[in-house]
Amino acid sequence: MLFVMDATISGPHFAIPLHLAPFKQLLCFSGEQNFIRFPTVRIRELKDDYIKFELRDTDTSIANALRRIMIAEVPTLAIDLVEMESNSSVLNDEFIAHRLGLIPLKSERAMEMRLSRDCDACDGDGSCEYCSIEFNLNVKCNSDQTLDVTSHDLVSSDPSVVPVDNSFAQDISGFDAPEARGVLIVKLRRGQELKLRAIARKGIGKDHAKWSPAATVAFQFEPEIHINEALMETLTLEEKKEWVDSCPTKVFEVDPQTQQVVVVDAEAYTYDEEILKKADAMGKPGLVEIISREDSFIFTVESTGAIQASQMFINAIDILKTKLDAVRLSFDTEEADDQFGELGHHMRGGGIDLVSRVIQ
Amino acid sequence: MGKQTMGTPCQALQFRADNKLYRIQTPQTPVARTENWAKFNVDQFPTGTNAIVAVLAYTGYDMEDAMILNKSAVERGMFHGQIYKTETIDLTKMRRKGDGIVNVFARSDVAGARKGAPAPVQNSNFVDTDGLPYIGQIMVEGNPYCSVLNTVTGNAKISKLKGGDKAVVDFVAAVGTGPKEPMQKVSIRMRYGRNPVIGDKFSSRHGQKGVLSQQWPDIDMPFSAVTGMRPDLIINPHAFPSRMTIGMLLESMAAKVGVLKGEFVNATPFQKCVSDPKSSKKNKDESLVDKYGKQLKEYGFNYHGTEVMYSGVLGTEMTCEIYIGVVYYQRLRHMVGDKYQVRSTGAVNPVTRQPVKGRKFGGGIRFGEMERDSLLAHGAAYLLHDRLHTCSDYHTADVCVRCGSLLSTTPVIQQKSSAAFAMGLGSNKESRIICRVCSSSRDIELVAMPYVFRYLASELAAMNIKLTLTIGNG
Repeated sequence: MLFVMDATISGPHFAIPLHLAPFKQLLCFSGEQNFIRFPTVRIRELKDDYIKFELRDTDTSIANALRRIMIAEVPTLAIDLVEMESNSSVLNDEFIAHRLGLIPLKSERAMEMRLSRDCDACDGDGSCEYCSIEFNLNVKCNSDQTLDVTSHDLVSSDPSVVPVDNSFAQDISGFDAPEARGVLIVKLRRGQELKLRAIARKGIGKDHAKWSPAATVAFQFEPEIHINEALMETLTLEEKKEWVDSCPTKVFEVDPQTQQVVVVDAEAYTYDEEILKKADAMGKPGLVEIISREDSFIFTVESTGAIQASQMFINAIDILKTKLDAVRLSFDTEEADDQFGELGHHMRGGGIDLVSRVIQ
Repeated sequence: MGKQTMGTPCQALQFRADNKLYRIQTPQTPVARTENWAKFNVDQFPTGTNAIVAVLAYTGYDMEDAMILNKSAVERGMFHGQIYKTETIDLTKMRRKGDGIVNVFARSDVAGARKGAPAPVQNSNFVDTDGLPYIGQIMVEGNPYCSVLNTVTGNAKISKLKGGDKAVVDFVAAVGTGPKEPMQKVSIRMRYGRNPVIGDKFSSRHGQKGVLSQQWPDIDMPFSAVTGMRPDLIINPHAFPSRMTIGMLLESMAAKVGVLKGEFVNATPFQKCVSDPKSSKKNKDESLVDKYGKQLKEYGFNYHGTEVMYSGVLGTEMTCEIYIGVVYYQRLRHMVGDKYQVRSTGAVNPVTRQPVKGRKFGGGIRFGEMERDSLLAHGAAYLLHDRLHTCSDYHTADVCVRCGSLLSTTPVIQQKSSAAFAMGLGSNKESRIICRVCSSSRDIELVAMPYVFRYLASELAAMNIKLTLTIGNG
């Protein structure tokens, strides 16, 4: 189920209105120069819960904003209210409620749903189709064997919102793989019972980590590595090997045929500067020059399974746009000057046409 | 388990009725452990969490032995815990010798209760007909949890929850009661949630204790570009030089290797002294840093346990490489929830009329001599007066200027002249202060003083010593 997309995707979905990145604009003094950039995304690896892509022609503020939004502001669904009817298990009610909250739920619907606090169609009792999904759990152990209560035992009122099920996912082989058994909630022995009603609601990771769809979001600056070939030739093969080995990650290699040092994986470089220190220690400063490209990033996104990793990124862009819209709309008023100062003035004049063009 | 840690106190927690137990919800077994760890089955009683600890000065909230926890890590259950408190109610102690069973556990609206007694509507939500609480019931201060009915008088004695915390009824047990006689003794166990809050105390196993100063949002924490990891906990590098707890730095590195390998690390002290000289000859002089540094490098990490990290707020690379690793952290049982003390007004000592002491009674914190000296040194006279007088036992006393006594003055109620009464000038009684010694109501002044001063005067009078005030203008 692994496919690599090698096409450059661009278009309205991925064109981030970068000229709104405010500080860059404020620093631009030459009025003639056009700072509009059209960032591009190139997907390298795509799985349901994993995506690796390059983000180019933008800057750190945007990359980090996307990272932060993916972790803390892309909405998902999670169990938020639990009504215990019967609990004779070894874990107490709060403990079980907390565990239920942390179970990732399939949240494709989350973007369209309402936040419970903004919902005016209900009184928050869980029977509202716009803001809540009801789950029921009713398990009793009648055998002498320990009974595992897992996320599979949760019965959802909405077939599209169910606990994330990894049993169909790739990479899991074998009948008894622990991943195939769902998320363990509690273990019951004979006679113990757990019966409850739970309500899942929409939320964001900023409010509680259980709503965060991201397991990991990391980006790195793309490095550019230039080897000073002339200086490198002054090293013996031994020295070359020693130098190459001083890097904890496998960035360089000595080509066995040509005995030249080549870059095998520039992105493995972690900016730890070990290799530069080694070069200095060998008395060959400037052996290699490493520049971090300030405008291209390599993102690695892992999802909890609540939403697809790719969808998480797209949602993050949508949310970033909404936030920028909020800033743009508020500068129509005079108070904007007080609120944003020079920035508000700047956005009101000139930039506005371009803003609306890209956003629409 | 250390005596201060909040850990796993016992395996049979469900059936026990200890006065007070501290329990952590999601304990882990440490990655770096000693040989005796398994021998003494310490794994059966785990006490802490393997936290990802970054050593850096970030945001300033980790100054002076404070530490920052990752808010998301806490929300996912890190260091969550509970306190169990048990109350035992023994009715045999209320019984006088020779009496039969008079008191029973029952709600006051059951049969046999006094006729015409108001139905305890608000109690029935909390207390069942057997006079005991419902298990799993959430309670706040003042909610009743037990009702004892006196079958002779028909009155019910209701126990109410004390303390400002929310509690949950965890467990109710009948103690030492046979099937025939009515129940006379119960244990009721309450559960108090104690999830980490600002001010709670945490410690590594090296005595590096610190106070939680802020739960920092995950997205604002520094992150590693390679792994995307954000630390669970941030401590300040200044905690190390003077205390020289090298063990913690070594644990951080060793456990990091252990985690990467998926193995436990042997952290037994003095290993070199006892190790067989034949077996580990070649690594004998290798330092631990080198041992673990090499292994870290094999896994693509920095030799010295540092990592390049990026500011979570800005996304920019941080100037320094950050020492980050895995350290077993424990939660200590000193929690602000059990310790904070606050008072504006409240209970006073009836003798001195000064505020009482003690957290339980809503008392104040003593403003002692040294604090007084401090205010004097600052020349903050008004503040001093406010603390020691106005907010304490402020009192006004009538003093007879002639004899200088403040004990001999007393109010005397006199009939007003009937003419004034007839004209309708209010009450026909009027109160005057007279000095019993001088038999005069002239020259009586109202003087502000601490109430203890009057108390002193009374005590001295009891010893036949007269205390005289000389009152004048300036």
